[in-house]
Amino acid sequence: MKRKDFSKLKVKVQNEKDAYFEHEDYIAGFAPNLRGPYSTMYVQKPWAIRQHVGFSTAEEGNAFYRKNLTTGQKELSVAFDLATHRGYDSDNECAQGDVGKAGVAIDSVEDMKVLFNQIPLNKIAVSMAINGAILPILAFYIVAAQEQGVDKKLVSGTIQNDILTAFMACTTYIYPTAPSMKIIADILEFTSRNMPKFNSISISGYPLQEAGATPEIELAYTLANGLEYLRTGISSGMNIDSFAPRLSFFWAIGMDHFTEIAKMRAARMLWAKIVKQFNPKNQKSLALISHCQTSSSSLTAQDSFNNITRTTIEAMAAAFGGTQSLRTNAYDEAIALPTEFSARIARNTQIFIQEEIGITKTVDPWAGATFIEKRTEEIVNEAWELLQEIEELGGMTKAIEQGIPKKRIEEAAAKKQARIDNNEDIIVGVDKYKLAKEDELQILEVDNNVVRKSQIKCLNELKATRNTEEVNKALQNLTECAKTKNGNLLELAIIAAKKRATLGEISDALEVVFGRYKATIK
Amino acid sequence: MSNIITEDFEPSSAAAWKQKIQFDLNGADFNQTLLTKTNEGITIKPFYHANTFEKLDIPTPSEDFKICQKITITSSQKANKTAVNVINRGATALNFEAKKPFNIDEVFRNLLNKQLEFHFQFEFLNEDFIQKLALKLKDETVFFNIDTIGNLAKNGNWYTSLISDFNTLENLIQKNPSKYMLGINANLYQNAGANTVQQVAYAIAHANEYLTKFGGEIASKIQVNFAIGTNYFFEISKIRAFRYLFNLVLNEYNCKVEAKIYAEPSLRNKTIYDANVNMLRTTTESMSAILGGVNTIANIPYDSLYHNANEFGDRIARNQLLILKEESNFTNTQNIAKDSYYIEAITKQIAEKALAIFKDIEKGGGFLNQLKEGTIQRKIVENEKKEQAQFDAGELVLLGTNKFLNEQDKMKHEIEINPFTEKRARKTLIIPIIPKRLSEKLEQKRLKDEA
Repeated sequence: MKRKDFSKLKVKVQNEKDAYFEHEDYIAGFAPNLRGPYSTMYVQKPWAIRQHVGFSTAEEGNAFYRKNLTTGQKELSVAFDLATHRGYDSDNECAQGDVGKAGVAIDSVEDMKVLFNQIPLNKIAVSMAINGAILPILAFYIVAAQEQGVDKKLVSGTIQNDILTAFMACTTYIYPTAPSMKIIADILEFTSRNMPKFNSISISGYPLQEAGATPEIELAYTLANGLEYLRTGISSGMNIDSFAPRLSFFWAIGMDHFTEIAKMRAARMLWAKIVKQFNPKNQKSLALISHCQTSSSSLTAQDSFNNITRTTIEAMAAAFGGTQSLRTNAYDEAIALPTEFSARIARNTQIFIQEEIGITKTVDPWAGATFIEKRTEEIVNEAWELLQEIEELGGMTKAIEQGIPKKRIEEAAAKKQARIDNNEDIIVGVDKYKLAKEDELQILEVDNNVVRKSQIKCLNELKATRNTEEVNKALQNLTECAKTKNGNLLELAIIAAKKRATLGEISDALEVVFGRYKATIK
Repeated sequence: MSNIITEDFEPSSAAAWKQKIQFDLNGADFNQTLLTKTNEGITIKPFYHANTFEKLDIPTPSEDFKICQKITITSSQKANKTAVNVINRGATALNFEAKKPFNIDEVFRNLLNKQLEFHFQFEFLNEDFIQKLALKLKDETVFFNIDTIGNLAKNGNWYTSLISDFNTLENLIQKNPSKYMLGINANLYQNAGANTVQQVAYAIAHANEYLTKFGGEIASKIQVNFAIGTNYFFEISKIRAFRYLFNLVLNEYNCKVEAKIYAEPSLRNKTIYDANVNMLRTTTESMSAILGGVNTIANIPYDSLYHNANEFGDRIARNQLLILKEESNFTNTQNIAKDSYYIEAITKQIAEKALAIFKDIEKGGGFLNQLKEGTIQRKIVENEKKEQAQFDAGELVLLGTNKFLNEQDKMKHEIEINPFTEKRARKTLIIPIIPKRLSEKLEQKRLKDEA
């Protein structure tokens, strides 16, 4: 056949989209921030890599942090053991099995000082996942910085401090709802006055999705928590612009890749809407800043190397959704604390996405795609409806007291399980394509007794050397404040921390007035 | 959207966005700070907006992707055992690589009538053998991937001679009208260092040689084989741009055919050090391939550069595709990029630039002619050298190889097969196109320095 002449061939360009959605023309860096909270997003600065790896003692944690800081990490995360979360010192009988498991044990400011020894707290941002025991932990942190010579004004970082989520999906609460909200109000007030670089609440959807919530429920309830905190701040006399810019959000990023991207885009628009009713003057008050973590519940103990792929897919979704910081799980986190090897792969997953695949060159790269925009719109609508249900109950604190959010989450979890049981949802290596024999895995084991004994030894030394009278006085002041509501609980906790009161003592000083929260099961 | 959001906020134009950015830049230059210029000659803008929307009408494949397992036939019996195992473990397509004819009955024992796709990569052209194979597989979907031009490009020689090679091909096509007999092995161009525009242009020009020879109807017997790298959105756009141009060129032959596209991750960016990063690479490469809309994907194991094929590497590679399909809803996503401002813009630019190169090639007498003259090879090497310089300067990063090295990583005793380009002293008719990995030089030095 004779060669054809292609010299006239031309591509035919169209300028019309097949489908157009009303929200599409919102941009980045301007409310409602559909395409990101900052105008150039990762083009100028990619998200922060915020890894943490479990360790049991402050010494181990400190060694690990110092090593990580040499590999380019600028943020640190702390996970605490369950005893710390629940406000128990390591020598408390209730804490026996929990000390040093799943995180570091902190009993006093001394432990906190060891944890951050030689880590300049004016330069490194620290995030701490703590809810119930927020007062002693934050007080220890502030005092540790002070004794390092760093003023609280210069301290940057984030604390979780989302007690409402803790009520819905964790066991990391201590006091009932009303006093818990008083603690939040005091922290908001104190930090907005004294700690301009510190994010005082990380409103956390993560535990909700981990407990089985759909991304829509996770989104709606987290926003409802946020709304409740806004009201708390406002009703304690604060100006919206003095604290709203320092609230941040914490999402779980699961395996439903495109839904997760859409969720984060929808979240920014809805939050802008929610904040707008309080008439902020500052654009920053309207911007939703997020931290994400890849979903732990998507990991499997079986054929666990598959988890590297899962985490990569999830991390990609977080990046496409426009997160400000990200934590990627290690492949063995479903079974144990990560090893150095698995932690390296987890960290590399993020560095790889930032450095090798070119996705940081343009803002919100999936924008416009019919599927993504449609999903964004659907999630906005569904989450708004769920949010209205909470509003009709009188807001999140009241809804929690009635057990509604917990019920919805449990329903969603049951549905999800049913889909897996009916083989509608498949998990590779678990339901299908199973291994005949699992490979042997090297995992990190924690000898919980050794940790406990060493913590108790330190506690005894501390108690022997401090001024008991001063400690008791500081604790009495806390109790008094809890009773009368006169004064700021965080301010008083800082004084107690300085005098070497322990985490358990500070918690107890409040518990005598507040009592402990008991979950009601409906 | 029921006006939940729109009742509270006004939309913004592209111009308003740019203004906002300029304000935030605080004096820094917009172009210098925020534009990215690629080796294709494409400029990536910091944002894309509906105001500047442009797209091409991209043909969409009708079916979801198939998960393919590659099997190198060293023994017919072993190959069969592997095949039977992997189809029970999620593979829906098989790609047999063979250096020489094999025992057909043995390899396909218990594999027929299972709705599988069979692909082949032969390093030989043997009409009798292929005919026998075609007969055995007469009721199956088969892609023989015979690519006489690709073989010339790769090895520098015809199997026998131009005339004999094309005669064999013609006979096979005539005797097996229902099979996909032809392959366009455009993966070679990617693995040798061509950029995405070049790959699309060469794939089209390469295909057009067969169209010129056999007529437009032959398009329905072609499968195109691409290698997918880590440049996430460019790879998605590459596949789409190819589909568009293939369609455009076929129009000139008054034909309409849905291009069959097979993809594998690139070898060019794979490394022997920190080999686990290869697992991350193949994940995003698979994602790009799926979202670009390829028909069949075979993943490569993270250790395939230096280990013999092994169950673990194969399984994790295959599971990456299964996880995407089963757990992450990457199903029927072959058109998901539609109307994305960014992907549509890049797709359009790749298509335009590739079309221009294709026209040049045609003006220069066609792909085969330009191969004989060495033009194609020269152009690929130009881009390959550019990329290599970027890698050497640390602008193009391979994690664990030219950035954040793990000094404890020792590979000397792990190497079972040669991971480096082999020098060939054979006399060739034309200059062959040689695949080359970016990290080879660094790795050779590091291996030598290992205590």
